[in-house]
Amino acid sequence: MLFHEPLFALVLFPAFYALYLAINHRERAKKWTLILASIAFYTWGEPLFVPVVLVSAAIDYAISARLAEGHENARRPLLTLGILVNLGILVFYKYADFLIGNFNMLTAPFGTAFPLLHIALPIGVSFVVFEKITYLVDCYRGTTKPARMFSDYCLFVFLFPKLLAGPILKYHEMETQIADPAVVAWLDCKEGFLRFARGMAKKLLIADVVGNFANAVFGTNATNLDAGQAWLGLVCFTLQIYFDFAAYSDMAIGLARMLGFRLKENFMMPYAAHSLTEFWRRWHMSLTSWIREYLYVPLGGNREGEWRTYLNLWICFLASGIWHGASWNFVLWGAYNGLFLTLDRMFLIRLLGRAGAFISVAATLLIVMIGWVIFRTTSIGELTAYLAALVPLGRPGIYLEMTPDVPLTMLIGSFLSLLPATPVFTALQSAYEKNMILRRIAEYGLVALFVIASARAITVPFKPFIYFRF
Amino acid sequence: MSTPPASSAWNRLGLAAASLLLLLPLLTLWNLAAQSFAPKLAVMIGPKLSGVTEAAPPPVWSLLSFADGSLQKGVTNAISNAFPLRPLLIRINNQIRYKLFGNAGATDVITGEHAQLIQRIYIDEYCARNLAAFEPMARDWAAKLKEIQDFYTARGKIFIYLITPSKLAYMPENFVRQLSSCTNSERDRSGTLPLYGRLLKDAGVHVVDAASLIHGLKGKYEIDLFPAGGVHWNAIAVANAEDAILAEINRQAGSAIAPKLSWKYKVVDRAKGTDRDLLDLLNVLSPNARYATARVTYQPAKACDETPVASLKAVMVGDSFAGTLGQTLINDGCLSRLEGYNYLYRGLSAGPGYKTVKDRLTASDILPLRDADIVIIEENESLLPASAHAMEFYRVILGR
Repeated sequence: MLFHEPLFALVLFPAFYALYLAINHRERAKKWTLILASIAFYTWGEPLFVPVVLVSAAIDYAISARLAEGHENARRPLLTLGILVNLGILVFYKYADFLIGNFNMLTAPFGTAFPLLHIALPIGVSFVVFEKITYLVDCYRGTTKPARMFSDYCLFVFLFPKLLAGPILKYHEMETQIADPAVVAWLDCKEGFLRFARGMAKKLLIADVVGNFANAVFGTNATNLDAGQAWLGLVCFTLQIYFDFAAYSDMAIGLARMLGFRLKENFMMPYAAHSLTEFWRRWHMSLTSWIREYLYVPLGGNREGEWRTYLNLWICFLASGIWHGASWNFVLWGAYNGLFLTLDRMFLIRLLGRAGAFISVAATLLIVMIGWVIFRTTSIGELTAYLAALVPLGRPGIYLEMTPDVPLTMLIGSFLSLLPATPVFTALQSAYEKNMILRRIAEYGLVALFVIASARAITVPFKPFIYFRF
Repeated sequence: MSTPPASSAWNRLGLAAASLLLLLPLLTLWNLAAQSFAPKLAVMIGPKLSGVTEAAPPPVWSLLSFADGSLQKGVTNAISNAFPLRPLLIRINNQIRYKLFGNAGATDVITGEHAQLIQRIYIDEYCARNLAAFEPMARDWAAKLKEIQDFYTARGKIFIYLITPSKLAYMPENFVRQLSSCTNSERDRSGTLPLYGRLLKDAGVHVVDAASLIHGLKGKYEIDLFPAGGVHWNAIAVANAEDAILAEINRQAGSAIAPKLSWKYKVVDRAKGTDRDLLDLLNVLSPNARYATARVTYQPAKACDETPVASLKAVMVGDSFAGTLGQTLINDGCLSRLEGYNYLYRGLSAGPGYKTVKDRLTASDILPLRDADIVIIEENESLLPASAHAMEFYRVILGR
């Protein structure tokens, strides 16, 4: 069940929220309601995976109590065990077939072939596992105190607003909020709802619209595309991936706020970045910060000399790539990002800095977009064909239907994505913050967008015919 | 973090908000329950939605269906359909999309020039016409039609093969943009019907080519013979086709067993019924049905019960174009005992309103087709040759 589905947004969440508000001042009841609702939420979508998470959470909880104290020689193996259990879950559900497939390919000359497992990937598994590992490492480091009760830890793991697509949380950032859920104030309801509405609008009115065209373009054999179609498809995917992911973060942050929780931001106008380094500080910030804290720094970060820093960056982005999906394209995408981050450190960021804001934003966007081609295509052959299609050689393309809403949506999406890169943005932001009328208009606008987005969500499956013709 | 005191005012506000939030989920639950015992008591806000939809399979309550997610899908569908604001929200969405982009999003209805509506299937069919591929199939189908005809004529019955027109073929100039991506030639598109007419004639099929007739009448009336907001022919076109059918009945009977109709039309600027079927299918908040169409009134020369054809058992196997025609044939053409087999098995229509009297027919339901005195097989030109219902009719009648 996704947040923008009518079942959740219009029926189940309002019903749950009514109950939650009715017990607003009863902390314990609220906490248990939230735990049960969160587990029910995940069980609805992943009934077979929830027991696995519950058992592994119990293991984490048991281990964490011993990680915080005792001798290093005893703590380290426990941490390793905890991490291995969680990585084991991730590898089994997400990477088993990828590993088996590659192993089979390597051993094909010897005639060995293991059957693929065809395990359905549980939605949110990467986020859940990373948060659980974070908890164990933080307990080991002493950054986090072990959860007081198993129920607290369960709430951290299962808290439904962030369960499926983040932001990736750290236990110590949530500890107080989880142990003692705040009384929901009117401002929380309002701000949370407006944030949720923003996410609904981004997802249903922008991401899905351009996404349909992007899917049509990327679903076509790239050798049949002309350069215009290939670039249009790429622009659409660039907008889709941002508005889709940022929308989900908005909805998660908004829902959490409505429940009295504060989650960290996950996106900060990424397409306005002046370099790839800056882009990664603005894009999926909770993952970037996770990789920095739990991988880059332990690898030595930038403390071990220039070349070691480059290597560490590469390792981190290769890991980031493989985290996104079990395919060589994602590994390549990670390597591609690692390459440009290394080039940034060597010279590129300084060069772009001297080139002026327009060129640096445009060049960064181009680098990011080419990266999205690697991300979106599903094989190396498809990738090279698509990159070739982007080169304007005057080759005619096949007919691809673009629904009439795509051009306007592309325009709005591009405007919203790139406005923060313009000099007027700061002035607009300041005027918005100072002017109450503007803020009111924006609030009413978001409510209207919520209605329109809900209307779209409920309409999409409704496909009537005059009569059943065949 | 804001943590206001647990004042009674806040509690009251919280409870009020909670009650309001519960309203829609509770109404949804009520609608779900009402669907099983009293559908009319369901609370749905907004004008009723038009069109038919594929019925989603009901949820199967089992551990297996829960584990594989099909139970969740079924429940999601059921709850979404029972949501009280669903009609209103769908119409809001469609209104916005129609105003902004000229399409209604959830349907396959396409808007051409001058607000002419058409369904995508007609465009797909028109663009797929291919004379070279059509000819052998049509020749084969014409031979089969002749076999059906022989079956009836051997028993002294009247057999008519009726071709009804397609709106797109009638007014392609209103869909130039949509047809610009067709890969076939203009000859393929406009040559199909004349070729088919020749093949039917060569095979000796008793045909009423209402499609060519209506195309030929283009420009002869002050309005088009298809309404802007509908996909089916209007009343003037139906009246012309009816004239041709009754004339063919008389020709085959060798005497005037059916009346010669006298009718007049009036141009009106507000569409109703099938003249706005696609407009209704848009499911927008405020459909604009103010466009020119026609009402036809028939003036009987004599009462139907004095007309021989009224006592004959007539059947018509056809598609949606047969609907208004069947009604008029019963009411004004004196084929009082006409029964319509919609898509052969989908439903049986009869009586003055040509209402569906039975849904989902079985093999035994269609047995009376063999004994009818007048048999009309209707195919729309967009389904040529050998539409599913006509081909099935061939199998049923001739047992092949």
